[in-house]
Amino acid sequence: MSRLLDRVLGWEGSTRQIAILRFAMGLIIWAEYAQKHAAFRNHAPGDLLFGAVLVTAAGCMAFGLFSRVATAVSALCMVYGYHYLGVHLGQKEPFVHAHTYVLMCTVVFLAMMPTGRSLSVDRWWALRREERGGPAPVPEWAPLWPLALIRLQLALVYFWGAIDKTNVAFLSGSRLQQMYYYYYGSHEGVRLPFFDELMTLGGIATVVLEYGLAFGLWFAPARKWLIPAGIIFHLMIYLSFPVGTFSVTSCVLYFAFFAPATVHAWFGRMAPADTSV
Amino acid sequence: MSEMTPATRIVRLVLFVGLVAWMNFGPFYRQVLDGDNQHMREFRMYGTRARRTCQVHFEQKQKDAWKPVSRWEIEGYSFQKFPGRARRMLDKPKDALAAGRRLCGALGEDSELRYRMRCGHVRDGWGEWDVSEDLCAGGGR
Repeated sequence: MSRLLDRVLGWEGSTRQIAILRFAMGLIIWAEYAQKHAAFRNHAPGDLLFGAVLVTAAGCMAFGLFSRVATAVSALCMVYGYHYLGVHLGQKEPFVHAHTYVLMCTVVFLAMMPTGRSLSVDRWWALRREERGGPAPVPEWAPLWPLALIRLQLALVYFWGAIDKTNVAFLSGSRLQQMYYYYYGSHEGVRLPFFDELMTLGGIATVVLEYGLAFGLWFAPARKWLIPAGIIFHLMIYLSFPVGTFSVTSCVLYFAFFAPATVHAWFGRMAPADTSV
Repeated sequence: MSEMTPATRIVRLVLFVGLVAWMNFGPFYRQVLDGDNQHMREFRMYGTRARRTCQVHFEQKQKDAWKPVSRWEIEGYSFQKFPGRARRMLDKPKDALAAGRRLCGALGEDSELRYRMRCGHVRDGWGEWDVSEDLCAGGGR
């Protein structure tokens, strides 16, 4: 246990993977919050300012402009939004949801890493400085121990989600039936053949898949099957129920489970240094 | 690979262990201990939606046999075109009774019509079926 902990705490690697997560999370923050803080919706000066700061910081974070500061400001805004505005002041929308919590945690953990060392405007500036005779840019290499927290957070979402569904109501399919009735009119509106059987199958498959994702994502051989299954699962949820940005956040976070060296090598293969074209 | 100083290791250790504990304690506190502090996060699916939903089947007596009647079709709804949730959902016996009365108007007041109804709860699944008396004769419970 102690050796494992030492390995995690001393974990270092390529920063390209966390740069992609930084880019995606910045854009997901836009998708989640920008419209909800638009001036035409809310004229309160405090809310307008909060929205402007969050959306600007998230944009800078996405494109890697003053990445470290932008990610830290985004993280602070999200913690303030969730815990103070959302929970403390009771302004549940748009802050207090499972998917916004996962987004918040991911951004907080990203803020603990130098995500701007790769695929960023910061990197581009550093390379340009070097071309003009300035110092060499810092290598695309950094401590990655918070990446373990990002992985753990996603695994916990699946694990506790599966725990919540491990009951007769869900496994019998009746909970899914109720959900469909609620969102699709009534039982009379849902006229699929074998609907009840389909819902039972859906209930069992969901729980099995969620336990599988919670534990299996940590193992490379299982990932080959679980990630496509998870993406299909999230697509089905996206197309069936209102889930906000939960599906896209989860699918992007699968990316965190690959080895940083593997992700770095993908870039080498797909964008080789020789650009003779 | 850079060498981690003892101070860096301690800072990382405290942060890592603390955050792992926080991440695990939230759902444990909310979902196992049934705590209600909203600062702790739970991961439940739609805990606040469809908390009480009922399934209602209307049946008309024809030649001594109860045959299903589609309120959905009689009221002119389709999968592509249906009304707001408040009108289409029958969440309580009184909603089923009111819908039954409307159906009696459409089918003829001399019809014999009843409903079979079961309600579900977010954690308990479906309850038992409840069968009404003749709705067109002013029945129902």
